[in-house]
Parts: sequence; C-alpha cells; structure tokens
Amino acid sequence: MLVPGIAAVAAFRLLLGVGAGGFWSLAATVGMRLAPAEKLGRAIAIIFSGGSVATVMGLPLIGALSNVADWHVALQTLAILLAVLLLVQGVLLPAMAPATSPSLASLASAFALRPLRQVLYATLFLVAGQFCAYTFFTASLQQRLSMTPMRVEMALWVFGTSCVAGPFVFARMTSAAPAGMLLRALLGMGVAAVGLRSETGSSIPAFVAITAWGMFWGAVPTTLQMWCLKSSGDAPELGSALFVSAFQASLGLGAAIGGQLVHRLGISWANSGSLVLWLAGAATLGCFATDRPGRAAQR
Amino acid sequence: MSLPSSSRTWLAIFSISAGTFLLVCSELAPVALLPDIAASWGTQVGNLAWLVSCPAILAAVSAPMMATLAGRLGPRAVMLISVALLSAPMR
Repeated sequence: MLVPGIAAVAAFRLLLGVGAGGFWSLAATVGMRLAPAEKLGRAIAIIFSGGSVATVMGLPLIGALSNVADWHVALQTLAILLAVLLLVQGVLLPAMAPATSPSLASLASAFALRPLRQVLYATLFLVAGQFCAYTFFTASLQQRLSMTPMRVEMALWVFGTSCVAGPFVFARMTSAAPAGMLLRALLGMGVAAVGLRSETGSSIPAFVAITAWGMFWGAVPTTLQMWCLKSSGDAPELGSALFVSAFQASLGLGAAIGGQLVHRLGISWANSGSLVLWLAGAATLGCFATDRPGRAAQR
Repeated sequence: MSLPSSSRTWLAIFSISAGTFLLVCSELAPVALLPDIAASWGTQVGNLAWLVSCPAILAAVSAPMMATLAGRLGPRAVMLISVALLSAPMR
C-alpha cells in the first residue's frame, strides 16, 4: 500500500477535528434524549466508558498494528470501523427533536461567572501540560529510554489502566474537593514527570513513574468536568459546552507547545514544558483558592 | 422495528459508546504512531505535533457550531454528519 502523503493526512486530520467537535458536543445530549430518566446516569457512564477503553486497549492495539503492519494501516482500520459505525448508527439512532442549543452570545456571558472561569483556567493549564508531554509519550520512551516497541505498548497499556483506576482511587475527592484534588494531581504528576525525566535506562522506575502519572491524570478530566457542572450554576449545558471547547483547545495548545520544544530543544524538553504549565496551573488554583469556595458560591 | 424499543435504545447508547472509543483512538492515535510516521516521512517527531494539535483546536471551534446546527437539524443528523467526517480516511 502506498504511504499517504502529508497533504492527504492533513486533510483527514482537519475533517477529524470538525467531526470531533460535533461528536463531543452531542454525545451527552443524545444519551440524555435516548435513556429513560431513571437510567440516565448509567447511559452517560456507558457512553463515556468508550474513552477509557480507548486509553487502555485502543492505543496499545494501534501501536501493535503499526508494528506488525504500518501506521497508515492502523489509521485506515479506525476509519473503516467508523464507517461501519456510521451505518449502524444510521439504523439505530431515532429521530430526535432539535434541542435548544446555547447561543454563542450566551457562551460568552457564561464566561463572566467567576467559579466557571476558575475551572476553565485550571483546564487550560492542566490539560495543556498533560498533552505537552503525552503527545511524545511513545517517541520519548523509544528515543530517551530505548524501550522496544513491545515495552512501549506495555507502557501505553499501563498508563491507560492507571488512568481508568484514577477516578476510583480518588473517588471521594473528585467531587467533594475538586481544587484540592487537582492540586494533589498536579503534585503527583509533577513528581512523576521529574522522575521520568531523570530516568535514563532501567525500565522498572520508569514504569512506576508512568503508573503514578496515569493514576493522577486519570482523575483530572472527571474532576474538572464535575467541578465545571457544579460551577455553572443554573446553566449546566452552557458549562459543558464551554468545557468541551476549553478541553480540546487546551489539548491542542499543549501538543503544539510540546512540538515546538521537541523541535527546537530536543525530546526531553516536552516533560519540562509540562512541568512549567503545571506550575502555572498550581499558581492559578492557589490564586483563586484565596477566594474561599464557600464565599464564591454565595455570590 | 423488530426489536423491542428498550433494547433498541440501549443498542443506540452502546453505539455512541463505540463512537467515543473510536474517536478517542483516532484523536490520540498519533501518540502511539508519531515515531513511525516521522520515520516514513523522513522527519522528526517534533515537526508532527500538528497531527494532534490541529484537530483538537478545530474541534474546540466546531463544537459550539455543531451544537447550534443540532438546534436546527436535530441531534441525529448532526451526530451522523460528525461520524461521517471522522470516517473520512476511508477511500
């Protein structure tokens, strides 16, 4: 098979971005429309568990497929599965009445809510910091730690499994004390990143650091999402719409910063970039925390 | 409509879950693939961060627009359009 060129892949990634925005903005809405009211929680959990399965199984499988075949075979396989899904959903999804969607003006006005702004700033630094390093996860394990492809797939699996464990390990804190949870996650991820950065060869300490990184990071999206819902007052759909955009924009920004660092300074700088962004995140959380949550909620 | 309506509903919900799985796989595939892609294009991984950053930044912009579109066309149509866009590399 011919190796796809940069232009073709770029076009597909752009289409993917537009589609991803649509999917993320609608996934929860469609779930809410479909599920009977008393089973709404279960429906939402099922819908978002797909993402957890993707981090545990999906990425290691994609890596394995790329090793036994080629990277474009891995991407083609995903596209074929998505085409099958399109047919299946065409049959299964019932017509649903148009929902009243938040207008762009109301999104801007929601940004005036101080508690919501705090969540969005926290999202910016935590998620950008994460993707500054995580984008180069495989590259850095291969190049810096000389891990074999099989070891790297194992590392992806360990990271994904720890991610899924995270929200359970920190279950009580994610909803009760979101700011405290995020500060602990920042500390944990920071220590793991420093550990991984100073690692040069042996795999066991690297795997310990990857496990800690995954577990703390795994708790972050859930915490941010619940905190966002709590902070958006009487407009939860506005809050979640803003959260989807903030999360994706921060992810993209972080990957772009990581790319510049790796390009200009070398692969080990992706981790350093994350540390700086996470420090800024901790400072932001600290600044807002001087405004006690109790008072902020009463305003 | 041979299926009872409740199992049909849950199948539809699982189909959204399968979509979440495939979308996260597609968005993050470069995390696993960057060294291989860089080798086959003869470049460095640092030049390929756009494979992750461009779709994500576009998704941030398209999310509120697609939600607005869903207000006109209904969630079903916009969900199908989105999945069709995701499956674009199929030729």
